[in-house]
Amino acid sequence: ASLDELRRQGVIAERWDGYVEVRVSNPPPEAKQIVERVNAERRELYRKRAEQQGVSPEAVAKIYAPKILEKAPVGTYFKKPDGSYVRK
Amino acid sequence: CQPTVKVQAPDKPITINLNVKLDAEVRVKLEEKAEEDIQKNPDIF
Amino acid sequence: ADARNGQATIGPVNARFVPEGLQPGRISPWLGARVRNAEGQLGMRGELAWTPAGLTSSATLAATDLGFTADAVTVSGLTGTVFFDSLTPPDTPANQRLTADAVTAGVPLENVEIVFDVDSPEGGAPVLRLARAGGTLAGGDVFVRDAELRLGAKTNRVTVQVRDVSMSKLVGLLEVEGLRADGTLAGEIPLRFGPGGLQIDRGKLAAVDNGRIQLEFGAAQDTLAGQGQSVGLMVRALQDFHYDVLSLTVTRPKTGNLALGITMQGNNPDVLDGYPFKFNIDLTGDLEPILAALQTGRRLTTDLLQRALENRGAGDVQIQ
Repeated sequence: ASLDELRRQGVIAERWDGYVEVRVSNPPPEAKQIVERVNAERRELYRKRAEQQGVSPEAVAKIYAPKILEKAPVGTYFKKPDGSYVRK
Repeated sequence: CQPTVKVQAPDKPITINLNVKLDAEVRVKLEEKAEEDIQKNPDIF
Repeated sequence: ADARNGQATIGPVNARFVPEGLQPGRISPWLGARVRNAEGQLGMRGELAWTPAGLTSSATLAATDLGFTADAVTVSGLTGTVFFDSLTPPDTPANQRLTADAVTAGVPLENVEIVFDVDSPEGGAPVLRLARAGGTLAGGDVFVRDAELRLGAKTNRVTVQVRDVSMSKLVGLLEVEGLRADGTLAGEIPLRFGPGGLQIDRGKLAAVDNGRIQLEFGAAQDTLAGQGQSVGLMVRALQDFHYDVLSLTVTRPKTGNLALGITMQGNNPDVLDGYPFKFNIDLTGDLEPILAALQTGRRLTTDLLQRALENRGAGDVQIQ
């Protein structure tokens, strides 16, 4: 299944800090690999943008997070800083 | 601390008020970049 | 030991954190979400004993050269042992002591020492009592005395004292291109830890004596100095400003935007024959990225201020 599919099902959740995580205890096998690949590529992109703008990668990621959620499929869970989830 | 009372020169000081919003520029640029990056990399966003 | 009386030892467990290897997240997801790039050793050893009267527990936590980053704060060289004479509820004897080489949030606080104890009043939420906590910053002292943090409370207040901070060293640390300043700062910064995170209730630092501020805008210096009216006058005055009053106010409301207010009175002997000037400069904005940028060694160039002066939508200048 794809990133979008797993987000729609609530298996993978988006987070306030710009990264994704596996949200359920017994996810399908590919879920963990997708989360690791997606986070690695996002981390690299945030680092590049941070350098260009002279801010920290964390600050960049936090600005991307709401934008990512806007485009994510309906049904995607979003984890807020206090650890609670909202569902799109 | 207590304002020090001193004999001020008669002339009134030129007062300059400067207001600077430090992050406006950086945040706006990043938000535009975010939308662009998210469109261009659907496999990771 | 029969079923009613018993004793058990936990550990000793010795975690050696390595950047590419073991990280706090593997020990506790809660910790993993808050702490990253951990390095150094954390040892733990505990005893449990139970009798019909109840369970008693004790533990020793030992940190050796422990470093980590939590949000925008980086700690390095944390060392010391904390003895808990009870874990549930948490309680320690007085004067537990930890030291750290540096705690950095934008600027490094060095030679850090924390002397504290944890107390759990009858049935109440645990209280962290800081006898003293502080370190050196830019040649001066930044410290907290006799503070109490009620871990269950909605908000906690701590006032940070600042003494003898050298402005030239501070400006050096902040790496602000084109700015030179001398003088000594002292004051208080009241912090409030609440549901909205860290709030600062109008901290105030003031120069204890007079001094000088020199601000150069590099390539744009001439164009800015040549601008008519207030911008030109301000830029020329700030080229070599002799202040006799200088105070900074720091405020961070719940919304998180930090506001820095700078008030200066004095003159520039070469501008209008030393006619007196009064500056009220307000810097506002989500300074968290700026502070974090400083931490990654990105310099705060005066071009941010310059863009504001050129009124490209980031600020304005009025003159009275």
